[in-house]
Amino acid sequence: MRVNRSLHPRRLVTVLSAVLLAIGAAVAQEPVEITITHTMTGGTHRVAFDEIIDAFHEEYPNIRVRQMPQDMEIYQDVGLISMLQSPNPPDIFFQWGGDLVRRDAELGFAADLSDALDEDGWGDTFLDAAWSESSGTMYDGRVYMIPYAFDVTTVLWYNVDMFEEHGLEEPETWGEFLDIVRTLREAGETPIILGNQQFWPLGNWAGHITARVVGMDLFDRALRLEEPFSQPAFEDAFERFAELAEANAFNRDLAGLGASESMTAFFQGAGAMHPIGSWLIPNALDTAPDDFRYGAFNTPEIPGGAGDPHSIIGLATGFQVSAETPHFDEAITFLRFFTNMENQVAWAESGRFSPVRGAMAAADIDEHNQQLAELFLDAEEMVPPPDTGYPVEVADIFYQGAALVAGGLASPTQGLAWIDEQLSLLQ
Amino acid sequence: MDSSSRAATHRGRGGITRSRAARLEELQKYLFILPALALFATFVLLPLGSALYFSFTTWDGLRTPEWVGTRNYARAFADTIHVRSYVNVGVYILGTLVVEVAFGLLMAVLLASDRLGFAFMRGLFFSPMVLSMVAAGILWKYVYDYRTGLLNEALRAGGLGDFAHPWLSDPGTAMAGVIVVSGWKYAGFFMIIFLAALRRIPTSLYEAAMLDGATALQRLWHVTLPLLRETTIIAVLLCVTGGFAAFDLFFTMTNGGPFNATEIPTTWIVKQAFDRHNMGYGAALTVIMTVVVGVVSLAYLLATRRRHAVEY
Repeated sequence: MRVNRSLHPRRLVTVLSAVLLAIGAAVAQEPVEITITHTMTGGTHRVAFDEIIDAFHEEYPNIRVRQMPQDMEIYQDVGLISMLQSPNPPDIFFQWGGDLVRRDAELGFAADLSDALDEDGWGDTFLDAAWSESSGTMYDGRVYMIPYAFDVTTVLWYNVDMFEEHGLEEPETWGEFLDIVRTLREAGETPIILGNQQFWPLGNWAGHITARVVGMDLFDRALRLEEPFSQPAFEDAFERFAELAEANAFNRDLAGLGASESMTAFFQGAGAMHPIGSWLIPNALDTAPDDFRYGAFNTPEIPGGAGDPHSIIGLATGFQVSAETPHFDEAITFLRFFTNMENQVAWAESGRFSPVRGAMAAADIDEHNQQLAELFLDAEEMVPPPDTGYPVEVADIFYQGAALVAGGLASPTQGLAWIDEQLSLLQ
Repeated sequence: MDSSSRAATHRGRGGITRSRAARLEELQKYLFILPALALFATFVLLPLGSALYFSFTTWDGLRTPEWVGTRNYARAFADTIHVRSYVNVGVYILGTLVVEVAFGLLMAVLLASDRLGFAFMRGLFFSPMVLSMVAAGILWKYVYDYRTGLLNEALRAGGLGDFAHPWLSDPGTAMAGVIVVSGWKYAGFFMIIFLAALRRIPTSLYEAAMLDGATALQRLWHVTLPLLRETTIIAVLLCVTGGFAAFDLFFTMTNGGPFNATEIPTTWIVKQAFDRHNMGYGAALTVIMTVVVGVVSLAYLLATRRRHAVEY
C-alpha cells in the first residue's frame, strides 16, 4: 500500500518539480567561466595579475576567470593562431598592438570594443595615446584592443657602477655615445651586451635609429614595401651600425646569444649597456643581484636626422575579446575591473607602464619606471617596432640586414642591397 | 550426404564456382590490406597531398589559401638562403659521415673484444644515445657558452684564454660545433650497428688470413671492411637521410644562425611556415625537400645495388 501511495501521480509531479527547481537553481548559481590566454608565465606582473583576478573573484563570484598562459614564442608562432581557429577560442586573448590587431579585426577574430568603451566614459579613463594610430589598438577607426601596458621596446640600460668607475655620464648625442663605447672598449669592458640570436633585440633598436635618421614617413613607406631601402637616407642610418661595428661595441657572442641570456649577463656585469625594452624592470626585480644599480637613457640624438630626435620606440600591448565569445559581457566586466584605477595602480607598481590616466602618478613606482614615463612625455613620436607594426617577414629581413652591418659582416650598402634582394622575393 | 557426394556436387558446379572462389579470395586480400591502406592514406597520403596543394597557394594559416601556381617554387629557387641551406646540410652530412659513421666503425673495430672493461667502454660510448636531441643540444650549448662554458673555461684554466671563442656565434665555427655534438650523440649508435655486423664475420676467415701471413691492418682492409660493406651502405643511407631530417639539434643550438651559417632546409621551412606564417611557401619547401631526399636515396641505392652482395 505504501508503494502505491508513493507513486501517486500528484506526488510524483511534486517531487519532479522540486528536483527540477533544485537543478535550475544550481545551474543559475553555477558561475560563468571566461578563459583568458596570455604570455605572463612569471615575474612580478604575473603575481600582480593573479592578485587582481583573486580580487575579481571576490567581487564577482558568478564569474570565474581561467588563465591559459603560454610561452611567448610559442604563443606568437603557433599558439594563438591555433586557439583562434579552434571551435572554442579563448574569450580574451593577449595581443601586441599594430599589425596583429589589424589582422585580428580584419579576419573577424576580435570583437569591436568601441561601443563598450563609450559606456560610462570607460574609454576616457585611458591616456589619449591609447587610442592613437601609433598605439596600434585600432582598425578602421574602431577599437579592437584594450591596452594594458605601454612597452618601450628599446632604451639603453646601463650599469651605474661601471659608468661611475670609468667617469661616464648619460650621453646626449650619438657622438657622445660613441665616445662612451670607445672609452669602455679601451678599458677592456664590453660596451654593449646583447643577445641577437633571434634578430629582434638589435632589430628593434636598429628600427628606432633608422626612423630617427630617415624620418617616420620614409621608414613607414619602406617597411610597407613602397620604397626601396637602397637609398642615401637609409645608408646614412646604417652607417650608425657600421660605426658601432667599427668601435667593437658589442659582445663577441652577439649573433649566437639569446635575448634572456644576455639580460642575465648584463645583470651579472658582463657588459656596460644593454639595449632592450621596459620588461627589463620586472626581470631586474626578479633576478638581478640586490646591489645591482642600473639606469636608462633613450637612443641619443642623431644630428641631421629627419625624425623626432626624442622619439621612443614602443607599442601598446593589451587584451582583445574574441568575436565569437558567448560571454562578451562577462569579458568586458573583467576588463573594466582590470583597468580600474585601484588595479592599475597595483599593476603599475608591478613594473608595467599603465595606460590608465593617473595610474602611474598614483603608483609607488621605482625610479626606472618613472624614468620611462618621462621618456614617454618627452617624445612627440612613438616609432612602432617593425615586427609588430609591419608584416613580420618584412621586419625579419630588415632586422637581419641591420645585424649584418652591426656585426661587421657587410657594409651599409651591402646590407641594404641584401634587404632589397630578400624583399624582392616577397613581391 | 557424405563427404564424397559433397565433393562431387562441388566439382559438378564446374569452372563458375572456382572463378567465384578466386574472386572472393582476391577480394579478401584487399579486405585484409584495407585497414593498413586506410591508415596509410590518412596519415601519409593525405598530408602529402595537402602539402602539395598548399605549396601552390599563398596561405598564412588564417586566411583562405589563394592559388598562386608555381610562384612559391620560383621563389624557392631564387631564395639564396634556401639554396644555401642545402649546401649547409651537405656539409653537415659529410661531417657526420666522418664523426658518426667512420668514427663509429673505428670504435666498433677497436672495442670488438670480450676482454675486461671493453663492454663497459662500449656502454659508455653508447650512453649519449639515451639522451633526447633537445637535451643534448641544450647541454652542449652550455658547454660552448662564450663566458661560462666548459670548453672556454677549460681553455682559460689551461692558460689558453686567447683561444676562448664564441663557438656558436661565429659563422666560421658554428657548423663544426653542431657536427661535433651530432657525432658525440650518434657515433655510439653506428658503433653498435657495426659491432653486430662484426660478430657475424666467421673467425675462420681471420684464421685463414693469419695462416696466409696477413697483418692486422691487412686483415682489416681485406677481410673486415669488405664484409661490412652491406652494413656500411645502410649506415651511410641512415646518416644521409637522418642528416636531411635533422632539426632539433640545430633548433636548440643555433636555430640556423649565426647569419644562416647553420641554416638547413628544415630550420628554414619552420621559420617560413611558423615564424613568418608563410604556410604556402613552407609547404613548397617541404615538397622540394621530399623530392631531393627521395632522389638522393634512390640514386644511392641504385649506385650500390649491384655491388653490395657478398657471399661467404
